Amino acid sequence: MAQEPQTQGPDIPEDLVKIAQDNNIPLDLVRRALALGFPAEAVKQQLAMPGVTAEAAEQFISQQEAMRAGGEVVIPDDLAEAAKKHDWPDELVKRGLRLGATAEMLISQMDAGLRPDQAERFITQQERLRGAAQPGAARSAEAGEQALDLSWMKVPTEWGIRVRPGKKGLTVGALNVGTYGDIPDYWPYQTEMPRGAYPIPGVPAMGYTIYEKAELWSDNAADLYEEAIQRRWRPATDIPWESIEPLPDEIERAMCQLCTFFCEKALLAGDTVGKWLPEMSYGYHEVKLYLATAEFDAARHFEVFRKRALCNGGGMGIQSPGYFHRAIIDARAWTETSAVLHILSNSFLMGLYQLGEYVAHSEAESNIFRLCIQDTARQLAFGLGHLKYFLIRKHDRREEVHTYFNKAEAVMVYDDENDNVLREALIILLGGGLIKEQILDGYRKLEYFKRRWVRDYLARLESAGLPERRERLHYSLKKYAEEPVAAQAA
Amino acid sequence: MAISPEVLEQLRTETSEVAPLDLSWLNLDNAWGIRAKPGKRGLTLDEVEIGPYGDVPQRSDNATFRPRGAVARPEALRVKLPYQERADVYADNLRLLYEEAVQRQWSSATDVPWETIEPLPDNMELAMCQLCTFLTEVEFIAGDTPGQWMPKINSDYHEVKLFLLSQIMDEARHLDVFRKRALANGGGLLSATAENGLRRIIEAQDFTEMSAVLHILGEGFVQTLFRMGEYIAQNEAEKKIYRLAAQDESRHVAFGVMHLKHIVEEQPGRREELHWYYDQAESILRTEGVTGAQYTTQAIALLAGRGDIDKGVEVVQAILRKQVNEYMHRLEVAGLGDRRDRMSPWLKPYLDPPAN
Repeated sequence: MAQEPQTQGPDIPEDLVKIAQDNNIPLDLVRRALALGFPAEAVKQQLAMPGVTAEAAEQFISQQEAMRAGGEVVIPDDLAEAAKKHDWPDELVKRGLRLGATAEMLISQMDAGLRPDQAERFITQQERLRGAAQPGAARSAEAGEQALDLSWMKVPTEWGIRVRPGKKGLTVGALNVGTYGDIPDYWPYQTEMPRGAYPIPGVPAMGYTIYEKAELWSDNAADLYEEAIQRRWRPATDIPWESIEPLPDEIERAMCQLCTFFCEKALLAGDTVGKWLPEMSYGYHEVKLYLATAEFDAARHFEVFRKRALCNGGGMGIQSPGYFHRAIIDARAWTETSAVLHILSNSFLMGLYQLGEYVAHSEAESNIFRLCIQDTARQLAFGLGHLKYFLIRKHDRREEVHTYFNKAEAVMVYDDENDNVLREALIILLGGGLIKEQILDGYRKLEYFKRRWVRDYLARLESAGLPERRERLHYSLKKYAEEPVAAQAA
Repeated sequence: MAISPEVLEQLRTETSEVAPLDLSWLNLDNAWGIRAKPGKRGLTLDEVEIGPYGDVPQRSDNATFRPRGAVARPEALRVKLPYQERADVYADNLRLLYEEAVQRQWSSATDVPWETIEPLPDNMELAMCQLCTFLTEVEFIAGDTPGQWMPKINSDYHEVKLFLLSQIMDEARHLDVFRKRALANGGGLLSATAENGLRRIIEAQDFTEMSAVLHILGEGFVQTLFRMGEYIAQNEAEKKIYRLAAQDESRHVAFGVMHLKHIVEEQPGRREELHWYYDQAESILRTEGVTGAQYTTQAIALLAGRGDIDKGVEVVQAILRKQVNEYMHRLEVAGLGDRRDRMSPWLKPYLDPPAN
């Protein structure tokens, strides 16, 4: 079909033009519908209905135009017949048509059992609302009665889905069956409508910015969500706090410094993910659900490390300079945020938790670090799952991903070089004290842990489909990626 | 704490393999010797926030992620512009509410007796699914909104952050449980609803505005509805869903009420501003129905009337009355009792006379 020029009347959105052309509906008709005040989304839905023809659309639009111009409302024969059968007075039917209801819709309401007195209440309310919406109309103080438009019972969503609990109960992933399992590459709705529901016109946009699956998706999100809930823990009661004994001052101070660092990281993660949640459209609820659990993880991590810092005489330490925070806060795309927060930052955190478990001085500390490792593993899995999905669908953006890591690794190295406090605390914890030999031992062990986390980081990126990162790693981190001479020889 | 200056000096100069150590942070001039001990309910925030750490400042210019009580670093990068006044975001029950949230987490996968759901007559199943569709929409917003406010909460008021994070989790679970119910018994999701009220929540420009509309008005009405779940539920699974969800919503409402109280007491000049927020939000309810959009009201009527919509309308009216009166009671508790005289004409007919 040849493209018609858009000349008079309101502009037609591009997607609506396409739907109209696909259904052989002249654009002039669409323009007239928009001029009548029907929202573009409503027109789109009408045109997408099966069996819609240009003739039927012309008839409906002409009728609406005539009515708006004060013309007589004509009741189509089939509607008149249905009205007679269900005892709906003609005047009531005309009032319904004047409100923009289609004959088909009114017939379906009658057949669904909507009584004339119920319809009268609804139509009166709608007329009152229309009247109130007119410029200059006095606002009614009366309480409107509830409508009885039962059209929601007839929407064409999938009927007959009966999901049953499995071994792990009734999980979110199990719900993705039939049409409900169809997760589109692009989510077309700007409203809060959940995936699988039926859209209605007139709902305002909610202001999301992410509508493309590749920009946020991870195949493991639903499973990670359920796992996070099943593995929930409670810092107040699940940690054997009484097992913590007084420690040498320098050890207590170093542990508290590490706890202060973790508290900051948790605050940062909570803010960062929180900021992105309202950006994500509702078609991909699995991701939003999982991230909600990651938010709760952040709260729990802040809580547990603050409690540890304040329960054994040490107290909070000194804040970090916050250079690396910027690499996360500055991100302008979710994929960038996830890559830096979930993969780079969490690889580092995972390494620190492993270190913490290694140096733990009590069962309480062991438990804390083990539980945090478990939570952080989920966040890593989500980040890697998203990166993998993104790289497969957006292979032309591979270089962009490297740019994100280039920047973030550089800032991380700068942070590491300038945050002597954290480094010294780790050395003291690993060495077990302030004696010169202990410091040397702590330093060597820290180098081991750095090698370990850098190698784990690279292995994770490889699993996500980015093996060449090994070659492009920041030069200051590269030395940790190489096998020590002794190990090579062995 | 005392690490001897000699030891520190020695370590600064004598460790050849290790880059020079500074170690001055070992002798920080901050609170040392705080030893919080677990109480009856474990080691809760109330137990640890003691001494100088429990002192929540009235005003804070902390523009970093420095946790309260940590020593500031002058060179730390400023990364945000959060609220600086405690009254702007705080409430006195935050620690309790957060700890309760952590203790009372539940799983929609395993804590709901899904096997008690039996096939329902089509109109009843449709009504339940329409209600679940609406509630899924509501819970989406209730989860996104606290997230949007997180960066604006000062790190010194971490109790607010913790509470909001727990709310995000709660709302995710609600979203998920209502979707599960919709897909568990043959109905599926039904029609979206025209919920301008939800947009009103996310439009809020001030934390107190958001809390007033989301926590007290929005979640207050939803909480009352959940507590009336006995009338709507058709089986044990649904009853449990409403009970557990109501329990979560109670915390959110409790925060809203106590935050509003905090504002009314500490920033009395904002009274008229608060009324404006409620004027706007209540006016949206007028056009959409107090229990949500019209479709939802009809669905509730069908469920409450066990298929007889006329009978169910009476229950809907009772729910409306309860919602409005509980809303007014919460405002009175918060110190905004004069709302009674200014309440929207749409809600006023449901308001009982004052108790005295």
